[in-house]
Amino acid sequence: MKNDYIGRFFSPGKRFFIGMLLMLVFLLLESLTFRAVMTGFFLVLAVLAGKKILWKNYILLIFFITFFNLLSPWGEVLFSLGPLDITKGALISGLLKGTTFTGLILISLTSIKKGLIIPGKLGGLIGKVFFYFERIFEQKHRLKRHDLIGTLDEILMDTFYESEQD
Amino acid sequence: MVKSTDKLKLTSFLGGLCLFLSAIEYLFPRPVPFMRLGLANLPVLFALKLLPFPYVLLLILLKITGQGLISGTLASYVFLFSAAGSFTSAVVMYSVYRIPAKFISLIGVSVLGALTGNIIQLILSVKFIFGDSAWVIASLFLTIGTVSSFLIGLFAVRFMKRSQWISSLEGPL
Repeated sequence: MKNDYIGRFFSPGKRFFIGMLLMLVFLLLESLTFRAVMTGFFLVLAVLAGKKILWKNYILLIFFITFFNLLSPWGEVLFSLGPLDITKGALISGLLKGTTFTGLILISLTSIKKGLIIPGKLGGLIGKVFFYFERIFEQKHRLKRHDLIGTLDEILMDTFYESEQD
Repeated sequence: MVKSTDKLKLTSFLGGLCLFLSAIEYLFPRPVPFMRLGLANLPVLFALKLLPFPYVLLLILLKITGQGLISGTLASYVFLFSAAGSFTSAVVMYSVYRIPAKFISLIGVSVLGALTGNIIQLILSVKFIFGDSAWVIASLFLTIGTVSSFLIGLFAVRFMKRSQWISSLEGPL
């Protein structure tokens, strides 16, 4: 696990609140330059938050979104790649959608930490879900490939009824 | 059907199992970033047998919120796509599950649920992200979803036949 520098200064709740504010600002201005700069900023924040950055996935995501948008040409033709006309409108629209999508994932990665407490009944249930998740996860070494059904069944039987006694 | 006092506990437990299976799925390499096997749908198939409809919907809410918290995508389009796909899929699976088993098996329920969820996600991604051209990958996306949901449905059928845990829940806890 990498160092979470942001976590040293902000509690999960404050971090979430600031993240939501940044997201609002991000979505307010529909300029490609602005969104691209903000996405870069969110990337830096995600690195500082110690998050694993899946570079290849983000680059592929922006590439595919832009590519599929280019297949529906509109606006001025900038140049041609074989049979495909690269049009200004489709290119800007694709890049805008791609950076927006990636930026939102990155700011979400930064602002949401496992310790974030969701208030109310739902928050209590989410807490229980994580409790059971950890209990089952602790037993994962018991899963055997040759008898997946039998071993999973034993794990569920044990964790479900053990948890009942807690 | 499980006693009413235990339904919430079982719902949370199945939610925990969803997160566990999501973690296992994370270990598999993905050909394309947004394509998933959908292992976390297995507990939803169990829930169709064990829980009434409102609890199945609650399980979906817990599953997608938990996954969003772990992956950090709770505040992004990914969460909205996942929510739309999962809830629609649950409604379809629950409705189809009521049809007698001689007409449709749990495997069929799983495949129909996955198809519905994938189609909804596809429509949303065409509308908001990729544009109309994304329909060209629709067949690949739907084929992967169909194959994986078939396998998950098959596993669910075999597991439910053999499982002592499932049997223990059908009687008084």
